[in-house]
Order: sequence, then structure tokens, then C-alpha cells
Amino acid sequence: MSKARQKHSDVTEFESADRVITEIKGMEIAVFKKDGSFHAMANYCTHQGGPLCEGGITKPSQLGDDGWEWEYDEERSCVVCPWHGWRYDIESGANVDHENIRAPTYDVEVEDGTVYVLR
Amino acid sequence: MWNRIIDTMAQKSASDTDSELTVVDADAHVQETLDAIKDHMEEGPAKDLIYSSPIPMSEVYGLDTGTPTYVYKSQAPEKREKHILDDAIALSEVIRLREELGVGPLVITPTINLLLPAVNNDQFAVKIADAYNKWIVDEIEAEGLPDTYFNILVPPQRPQKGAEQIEKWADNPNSKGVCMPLTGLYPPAGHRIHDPIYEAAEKHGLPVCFHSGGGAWNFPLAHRWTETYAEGSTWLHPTQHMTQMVSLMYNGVPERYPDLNFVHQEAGIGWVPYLMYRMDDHYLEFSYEIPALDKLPSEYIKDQFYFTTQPLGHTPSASDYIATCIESIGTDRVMFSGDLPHADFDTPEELSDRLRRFDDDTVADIMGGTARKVFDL
Repeated sequence: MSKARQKHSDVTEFESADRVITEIKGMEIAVFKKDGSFHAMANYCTHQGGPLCEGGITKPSQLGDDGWEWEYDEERSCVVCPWHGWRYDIESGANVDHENIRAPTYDVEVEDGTVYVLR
Repeated sequence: MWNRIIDTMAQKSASDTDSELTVVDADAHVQETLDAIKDHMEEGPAKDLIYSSPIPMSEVYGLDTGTPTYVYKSQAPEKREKHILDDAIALSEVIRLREELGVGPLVITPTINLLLPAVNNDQFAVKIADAYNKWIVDEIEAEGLPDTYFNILVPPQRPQKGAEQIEKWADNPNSKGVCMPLTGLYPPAGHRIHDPIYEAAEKHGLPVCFHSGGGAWNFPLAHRWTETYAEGSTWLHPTQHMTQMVSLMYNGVPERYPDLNFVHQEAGIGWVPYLMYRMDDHYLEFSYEIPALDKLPSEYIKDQFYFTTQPLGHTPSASDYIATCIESIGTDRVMFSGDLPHADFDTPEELSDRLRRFDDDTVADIMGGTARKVFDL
């Protein structure tokens, strides 16, 4: 199935929000703005269908060089599903704890102040 | 017996225990006593105190109610010369029972010393573990049979001493694993204090065998208010394993020791799928508290964990319940155990009757092939 540009949101909406959720062709899709880039993900947790992209944003935890102390993986950001806490990388859609679990992601294009999602 | 593979294995177990097609009891026992190991204990103040007590099971082990004596007294008295708890059931008796039931190789675990973590005095615990290991080595050599093996008993109170026991006995041809009793094990198995034991076991390629026990006061047993042996025994075995496995897993022990295998003994297998799926769910939900793992707990289980089947309990033999449990865990993860000579032992047929869904090779693995691999028999 070929993908078409679907208007999602205006760039100005991200001046006061880190994400915008819009329904496109029957699917709620969130666009996150992170470090100046835009990333789109389905607002649907593959666990039990929760509103994934309405959750908080954090970084995955990992062990430090001493093999004991907890620290954040500063290279990644993940959204936390508000239902059961499953966590998905904002850029790749992969569950940060199990790579076989993925939320659908979409390509994003920005032109003339409009954010488009390819779907 | 209904299955030709089991018929063949029983025949071979009775006559040729070196055959790859034999039934292995992955959790057999001796019933040692303090009297039995006395001559093997190092002289010194700890020994003097241990053996000066008129009630050592209470004063040394903190035992409240272990296996009640009436359990043994009711069992086929004409076949046993001695069957009361205060007397040792030595290796010769276990071997006689083995032959009677068509079981081949035995991997021996202690009985009284399943309570070793509950020994309140670390000096006693260290001396007892050392004496037991010397005693069981002598017992096996005295029997002169090449197919009787033991797990090295370690005192969890002093893990470095436990590592020394592993170093001491790892090269003994009959040592096949490490016995880490779970009765009141505290700190729990995942605490770093136990790392010397895991390190030594991994170094020598010995699986760490966790074995539950009863009758002591330590957390998480909460012995008070479990007024009968039946009440305590019913829940404490799976509870101990569940508590300790969660600690072991979430503190990253299998990740830190990727070449170390773990064996969970004497809680049966019904608890395993439940806990496995529950741990996976919790890991996906709370992984920010579990950064020590790099994959799902179930994936560690399928790589490094094994489970012995006894007690099967009153599970229906006409249904696929046990077979489904085994499939959930992994048919290559489960090993038959009889728990000889304890009163709640399982015969090999008790398990094989519940394996009708599996092919001959899988049945042979569960009944003995996997144990041969895990324990390098």
C-alpha cells in the first residue's frame, strides 16, 4: 500500500507542547518533538491497547560502569504507557526492554510550517 | 508400564547405570545427622559447643518441626531396620531404594542441612558444611559405586567459606553441583554477598542447586502460626523458591554469571510458569527498577535454569496438566527427581504417566538425559 502525506499538525503547536496527537485515517498518531526533530508513533500500546503516547517521557535505566549504580541512558528517550508502564523508544518505536515488541512508527515531513505523517 | 521408552529405561537403570538411557534422580537425599558427621568435623570450640547440646536440632539448627517421625514410622516397617528421624538414612539405604524403583544415577542433597541457612551461629554453619562434605565423600567412596554423586554443601552465612568448599571439592569426580539450601536464606539469593559462591561455581562449571526446606523460623517462612507440618510444608516450598528466584533474577545474577546454571529442587514445577510469566510482566512494567537484566526473565530461565519435578502432587495423570507446565517452561529445562528416601517421594512412573504427549526422545531427556547433561554425569 503506498503511503500518502497526511496533514498532522502545525509546527507552532509544538511551541507549548512536546507532542501532538491527531487522528489520521482512523488511527490516533502522536508526533513528538525531540531535539528539534519530529517522530511519529501510533497512540496504541501493543500490550493491551492503552493510549501509549499520552504517557510521560523518560530515559531508560541501565547499570553504570561499576555494574551496580543505576543511571540513565542519556542517548535515548522513551514514552511510558500510562496503563502498565511499558516503554517505547520515541524514535524507533521499539520497546526499550524487549526488541521484539514495537509500536508502529511513521515517517514525518515538515513543509511550510505543517507537519505531515506518511501513512 | 505403558511406554516402551520407560520400560527400556527402567531395565537399563537396574542393570547399567552408565547407559545414556537411564532414569536419573536429580534430587535424591541422604538423611545425615549430627552424630553421623561428628567424626568428620574439625576439632575446636565450635564442635565442642555443637556436641554439648542436648537438643541440637533446636539449639543448632533452630528447628521447630521438621518431617514428623510418624511419617517414617508408618512406612513399610518390615523393610527398614531404622526409620525414625533421629537416625541417619545413609547412602546404602538410598541405593537399595533406588534399585527397587528402577532409578539409575543419583545426585545427592543433604536433609538436615537444608536448614543450614537457619543455623544462627556462623561458626557452627561453616564447620557443619565442611564436615558434611567430608562425610558424603567418604560415604560415596565406601559404597564403591560409580554412579552416585553429590552437591557440595555451602554455608550461605559465610559465602567466602562456601567458595572455599567449592574449590576444595570441585575436582572430586563425584561432585556435580553446589547445594545452596533455601530454608530461611537471608540475605536472599540475589544479594551480592553470595557472589563468591556463584563465581566459584561458574568457574568450575557446577550448577547451583537451590533446595527448599522447612521447620525453621527465618523469613520468609514465618513459621509461627503454621501450627502443623502439613500447613507449613504445603506453602513453604514453592514460596521459598519464588522468593529466592525473584531476588536472583532481578538482581541480575544470571546476567552477571552467564555460564552458570541454576537448578530449583523440591517445589515441583507448577509454580514455574506462573512466576515466569509474572516476572516477564513485571519486568516490562518496572524495568526502571531492574536495569540488571538485558532480556526477559523467561529468556534467562530458558537459557540457565532447570527444575526437578518432585513433588508432582495430586496432579491429574489423565490430563495434560503436567505436560503443559513442562512445555511452558521448556521440555529441556525439566528433570525427573524422586526425592528418595523422603516420605513424599515420586516413583519414575508417577512422572512418566504424565508425559504421554511427548515423543520418546523428550521423555528420555526428562527422565534422565537432561540431568546427565546438567550434572555432567
